[in-house]
Amino acid sequence: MKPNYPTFRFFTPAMVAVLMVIPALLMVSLATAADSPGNELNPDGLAFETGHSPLGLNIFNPRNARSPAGLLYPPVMNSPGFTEAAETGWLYRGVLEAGYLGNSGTTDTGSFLEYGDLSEGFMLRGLGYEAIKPEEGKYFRLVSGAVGRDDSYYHVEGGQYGKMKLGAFFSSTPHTFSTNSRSLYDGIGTGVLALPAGIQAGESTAEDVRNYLNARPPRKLALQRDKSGALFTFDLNRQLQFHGQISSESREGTRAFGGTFSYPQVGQVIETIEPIDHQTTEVITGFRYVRDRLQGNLSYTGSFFRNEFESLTFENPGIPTFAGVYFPPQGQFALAPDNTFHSIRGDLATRFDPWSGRFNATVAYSVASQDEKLLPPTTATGIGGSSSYPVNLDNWNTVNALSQARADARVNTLTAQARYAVRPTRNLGVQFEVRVRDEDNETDYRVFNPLTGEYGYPALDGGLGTVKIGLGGIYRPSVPGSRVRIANIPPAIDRAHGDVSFDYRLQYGTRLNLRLRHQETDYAHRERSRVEDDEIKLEVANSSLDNAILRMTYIHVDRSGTDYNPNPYEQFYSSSFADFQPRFADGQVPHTLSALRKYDLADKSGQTLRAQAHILLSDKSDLQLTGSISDDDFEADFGLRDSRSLTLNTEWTYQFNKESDAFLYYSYQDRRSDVSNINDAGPIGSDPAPGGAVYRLDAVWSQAAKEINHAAGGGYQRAIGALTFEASYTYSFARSELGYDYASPRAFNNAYTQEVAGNAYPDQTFELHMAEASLAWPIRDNFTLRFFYRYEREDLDDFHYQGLVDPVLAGTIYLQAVPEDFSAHLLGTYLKFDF
Amino acid sequence: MPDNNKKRLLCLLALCSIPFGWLILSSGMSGSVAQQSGLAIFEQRDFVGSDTCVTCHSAAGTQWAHTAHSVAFNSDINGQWGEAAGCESCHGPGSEHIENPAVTDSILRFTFDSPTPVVAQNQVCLGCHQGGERIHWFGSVHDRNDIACADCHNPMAEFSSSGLLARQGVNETCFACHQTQRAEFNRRSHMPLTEGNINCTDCHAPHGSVTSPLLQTTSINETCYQCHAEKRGPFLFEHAPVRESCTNCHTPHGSNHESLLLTARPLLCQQCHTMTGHVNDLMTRGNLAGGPRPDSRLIGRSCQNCHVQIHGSNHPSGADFHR
Repeated sequence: MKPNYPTFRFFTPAMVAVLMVIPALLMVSLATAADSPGNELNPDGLAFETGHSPLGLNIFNPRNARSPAGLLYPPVMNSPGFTEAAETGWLYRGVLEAGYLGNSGTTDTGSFLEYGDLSEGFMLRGLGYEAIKPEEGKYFRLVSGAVGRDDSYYHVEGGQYGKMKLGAFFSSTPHTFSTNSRSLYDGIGTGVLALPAGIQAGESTAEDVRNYLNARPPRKLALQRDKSGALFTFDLNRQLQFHGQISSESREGTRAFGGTFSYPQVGQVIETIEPIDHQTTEVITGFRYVRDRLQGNLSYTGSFFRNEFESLTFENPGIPTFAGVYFPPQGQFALAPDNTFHSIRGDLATRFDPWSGRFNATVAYSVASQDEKLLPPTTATGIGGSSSYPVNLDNWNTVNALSQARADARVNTLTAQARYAVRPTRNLGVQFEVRVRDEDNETDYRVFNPLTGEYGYPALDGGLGTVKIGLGGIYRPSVPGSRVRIANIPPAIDRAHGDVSFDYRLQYGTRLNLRLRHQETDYAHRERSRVEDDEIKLEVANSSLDNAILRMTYIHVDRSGTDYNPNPYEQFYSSSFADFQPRFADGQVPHTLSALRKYDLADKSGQTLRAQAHILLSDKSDLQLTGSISDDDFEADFGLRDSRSLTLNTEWTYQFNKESDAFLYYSYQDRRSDVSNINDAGPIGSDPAPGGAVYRLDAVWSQAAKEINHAAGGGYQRAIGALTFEASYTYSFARSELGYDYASPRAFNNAYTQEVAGNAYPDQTFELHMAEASLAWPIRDNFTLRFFYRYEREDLDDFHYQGLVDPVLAGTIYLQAVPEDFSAHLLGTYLKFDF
Repeated sequence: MPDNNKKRLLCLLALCSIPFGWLILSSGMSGSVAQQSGLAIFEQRDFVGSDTCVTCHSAAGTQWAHTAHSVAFNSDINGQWGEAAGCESCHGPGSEHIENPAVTDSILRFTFDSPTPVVAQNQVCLGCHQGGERIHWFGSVHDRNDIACADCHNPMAEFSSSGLLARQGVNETCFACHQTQRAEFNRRSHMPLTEGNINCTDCHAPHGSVTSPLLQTTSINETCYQCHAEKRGPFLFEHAPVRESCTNCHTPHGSNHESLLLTARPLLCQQCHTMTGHVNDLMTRGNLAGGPRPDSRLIGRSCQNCHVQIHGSNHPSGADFHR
């Protein structure tokens, strides 16, 4: 218990309760749900705890015990004791920590600012207050941090154990994407991106746009995420609990977005900026029933997403790569629609005496839906498309050009699972599991314009048909090969698996587990109607040794299925119409390469081996070694062909005494994959097979991806007299090598020489260093001075952005949001006051 | 619902009926922790009270006095612990241990050298904490691997700010075994876990779940939609692998590529797409921003420079995810 330090009587439980209840009620009114306290400078949301307790836990053993799995428990954290409030029965404690945070270096980059508010200035780092009334089991707890900053958090909870609990929270998280983007547009952050006064659509040249952009100040693209909520549980009796929580999360800001009016290499591609003003409200409530042999949960979850911006309109500066190309004046995106999700779920668990039986089951039914008003197919006016096939956009820029006014989209999902386990003998356990997930997608949309009686839509606001006549988007029965979309494709998946596992405990602490699983997945409108996965999993664990625990797992997966149809989509295209004329006498231009296999549906043979050793080096020290190796062969000639990985981890822990410990870790991962494809020769034939006129073998190419990752780090904490010193270091390095090979320059359309093409992209590398140290110095009984220092550095080379110094390249206008390296120092001085 | 799924559901219902029948046939509702766990330690011994325990275990008593368990046990608001309230609620009656303190196995210990099997140790915890969020504990991967409650939790003292965890926070507790994930969360793109804004249990349910990776919800996508509700749709035009699983393109624990992508674009997209047209061109160094033929399919956002709404489009002209 806390010694009799002098305390300020202002902080009595009654006074603090009054101070806390007001913001708590405000937060409840804002609505909240479960969230964890913490931010970048205090990830675990610690409020009361500082360093390690000199008292320890066990007076008979100077070191901490090990958990049942052999892990050394860390030293006990040090926290202030409770003070008794006179004649109330309440005990309370509180902390207030405030100070100044300084920084230097490249602290204005998006990567440094990514998820935290590390700006210079005063910081109310932490405020914590806790009161307990042991005789009545009542408690109250408030934890908050970074008060008033963009990454602040406030959590308050109170109640009576065994009776009820009330809680509320608010947390803020910034998410910075970049601070160096330059956009052409006015109206950023709104639903309309307009060309500035200095740029004239179709008249301004690339040089005009370049000059304008280079004169613009850099812009920050970031979101602010604020989440608030409230929760309660009421124990109606010893068996039945009623619980609920409600939360509301808002996200406001901007992020990079794309935009195009044309075709690759033809120009009129422009990076835009999406306005974000999202609000998601979630409600979870239900009952929990607990008896000795029977437990049940019944719950409802509702999630309601609202987007302030239903659309984003962007004007076209009209910079074509080729002269004389038509440019649509503007385009419009449909942004994420408001949507609603309802789910009802029931869980049940029982146990019964014969063979120590256990059974649990779940049934859940959910409906995800949205019924947003649909936008017109285009907002452009006048005549678009090509001179051969002009499109009167005035017949398409109205909602009257739609087959239906609203989306009326809906997916219903039923999930049911049962697990049944028995132990017929002391050493043998058998478990059965069955799971069914049935999904119905009821979205039905016909891509049809009742004003013109035509199927399709003017692709890219009439821009695409200008440069690629066959891709104009509107069905023309008289034109051979006019293959356009006539309906949406509603994907749906029904999946079921059944498995049986045998668990056998040998003597000497050895356990064997064998699991056999068969899974069937039925797809609607995919290349395979059914995929079957068979899995064998064998686990061995041994804990018989005094100083080691060993585990090993081997998994073998085989996937097969019905015949692979590379084009199951024709019913959703005009090519299914009776009056459709194929492009060629022997058929239509192939949809895709027939030999390519999409990896989520391809045959697969996969193996994984995992091993884990936990070695108890001494009473003070642990060593953990884990590793895994996996190899998936997709049995495909084209597409993703194989994927392999090797992972190794090790961690060493050492406890010097009750107050001092250290750890070191290192992780390595090597991932490789191979992909193959063929560059098509254009719409010159109907043969989809490799080696045909369209997919020539001299245009075959392949890519090999290799990723090497190293991660290392360590930490050290010790007491030096009354001082507590902590230090840690984190290192991460990644190198992604992407090499490619090709049969001939046809693979890249003979666009340049093989010398220019080379055989690999520049390596993509990422390196992180973060070193942190702090020193806590108790300058008086209830005042502690803390010094904090962090050095952080990130270096990133990403070939996607390499050389991107010109904002206008080949008719494409980029934001130039190039990831930036940073190197920064943080220095904080805080005074902590325990009351 | 296809016929084959109806058959599957019928099989599932049939399986469910077995234990209910068994439950009806079996009788009695045993209540005490001792009877539930079958631990000899709880039988034929006497409770001595926590005050007796702390005369020797003073440090433990002082540390424990700060914890939620201390307040809950001491108040015994529902009268469920009676004379066992305190240390002996979990460790069992102490009379034999008092008689011969050197025999440490005469009380239940939740440690590596405890002779009590893990499943029996856990049963003591579940005596109060069964059901609710732990309703799927039995048969879960952690249960099958003999992971003890006391591997992740330590209610004896303040090892964490909340949750009576055995380590400083949720993530540190999980990383003690799941070390690959710790490394992944320090990669170029990652969710704000190391920054303290989310933690492992926002997505995972370590006490058991209806999914193999112990997800909080019934599917991967439903879990992702908890935060990314704007991706939920359903959309007028869906991208089938997106609807199937976010992990077809994203790796949630961290990536060396933008936006938690599995690999670099356009390769990511070209693993599946080779439709006749511009999709299957090999992009090379020559197409980089500094190359002789810069191409928006390789630069910056790559394919998503044009196919912006790759998670699904609600625009009547968005079949190819341009709008």
